[in-house]
Amino acid sequence: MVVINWIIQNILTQASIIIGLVSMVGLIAQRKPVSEVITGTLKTILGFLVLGAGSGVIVESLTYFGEMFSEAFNMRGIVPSIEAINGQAMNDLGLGSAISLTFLGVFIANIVIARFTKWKYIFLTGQAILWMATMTTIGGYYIGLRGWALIVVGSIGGGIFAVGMPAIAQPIVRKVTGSDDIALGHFCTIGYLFAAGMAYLFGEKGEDKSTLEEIELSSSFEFLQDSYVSMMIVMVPVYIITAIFAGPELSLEFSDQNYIMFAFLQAMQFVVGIYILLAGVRLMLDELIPAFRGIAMKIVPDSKPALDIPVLFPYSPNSVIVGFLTTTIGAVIAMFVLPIFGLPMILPGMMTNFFAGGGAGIFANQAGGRRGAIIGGILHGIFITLLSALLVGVFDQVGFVNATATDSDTIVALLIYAVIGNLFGLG
Amino acid sequence: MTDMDEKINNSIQKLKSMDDENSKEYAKELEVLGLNYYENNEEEKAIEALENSLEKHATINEGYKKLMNIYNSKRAEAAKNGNMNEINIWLDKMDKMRNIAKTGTIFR
Repeated sequence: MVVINWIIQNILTQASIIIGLVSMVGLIAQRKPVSEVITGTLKTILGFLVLGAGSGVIVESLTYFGEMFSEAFNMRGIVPSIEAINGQAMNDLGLGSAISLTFLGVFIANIVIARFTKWKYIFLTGQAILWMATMTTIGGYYIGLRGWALIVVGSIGGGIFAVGMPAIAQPIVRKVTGSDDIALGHFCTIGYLFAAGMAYLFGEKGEDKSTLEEIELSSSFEFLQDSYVSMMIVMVPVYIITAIFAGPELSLEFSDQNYIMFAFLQAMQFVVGIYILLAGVRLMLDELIPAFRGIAMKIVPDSKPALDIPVLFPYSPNSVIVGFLTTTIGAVIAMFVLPIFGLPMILPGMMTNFFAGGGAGIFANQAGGRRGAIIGGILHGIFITLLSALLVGVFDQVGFVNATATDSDTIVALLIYAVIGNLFGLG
Repeated sequence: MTDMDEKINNSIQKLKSMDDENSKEYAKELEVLGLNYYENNEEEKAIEALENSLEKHATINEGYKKLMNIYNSKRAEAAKNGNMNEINIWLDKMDKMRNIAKTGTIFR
């Protein structure tokens, strides 16, 4: 009994150990040598702890930013960052173990659905599965689920999305790539289909519609090559402008340093936090993903791999750039318009606008030609910003600090929980 | 000698005549060679030529797409044979193509 209690208190409640054990199971299943099992397990634990360290840095910066923004503009300014949400959920809110086990559970649910149904998609974008596991866990927690119920429901929900999203995207993916061999594994599919729908409604019609790929588009977006540079380009001006409007008095509660300089450093601190967190995520996933995707493909030998959105970029590169630009325009419009309706101001996220916007551009170009791509892209930017804004109330109740999620499918997954919770009086 | 054998030979001769092995033109000719090898059912040589081409100059043209298709076919074959190590080798190669896709889209 003493031993069991010790195991429960010192192992099963420690999220880093849980995820290490998950990795160990995967490495043993692959029949890796003992040395690789040990190093792989330790690296996974290390990755989790690094993730936690990054989260701490992010929360400190967001706390400062939230107060300064309220002081400056008398409204809430929210940073869209699924990384910040994941970090806070896994550490500050104590959901690390649940998210780790749900991450494994989503994989298992995906394999089971692919094995026994006609939808043979295996979702291979590890980071996206981690974000989905995070959001289904938060959703379940919000409506009062705890323990194994929280993990099982989140896993099944996540697994359904892991198969369902590639399936609903496939008709358009097939047209873009000209084949049925690969699928899309990126949890922004609902946004893509929204963009395609708007492009179809307002764009060009018929087989002879134009395409963005026929035009000569010079590309000078080198700043997008480095994710952290892209983030700094947005966060530094936003933090400094906020500090200027807020004035020096509130800043003195955080530091004696000059308030503009402190704002600059806090903006950099946010980016540093993301850098550390993602380094931890990569360390963790580098051990976890190979273990389980190999097993998945062995169990479902006729599976179709669902890959990250860049897999479509070579088939429609101009659409990616136009999608990025138009999604950014839409996001900026929504940033200023949504507060009029009482929603918080959601700041633009450059990397979301590039990857999700790029994907939306591809889908919208396919559905509605050039005109459709432009209109669909702008409306996509408004749509994904609205989704992020709608979540803020849920996140506030759970205890998150000044951040919201970004990927449309993960947001919808959580909103489904919220709707169920409201309907049945849960949470 | 078939037409395809002649095309392959021409590409090899052209590559031998080029001084700068790091130029875009050299990478482009490697891509052509890789595509021709594939058409001639010489898959392993196609993989080598196309990988070399992308290493010298990352682009998202026909060579990229063909290589991605080849990787996926090899992955599917490994899955049918239940060989987890092989599955991961090909999936790792497909993962690396992701960064090339992003870079190739931004820098064109």
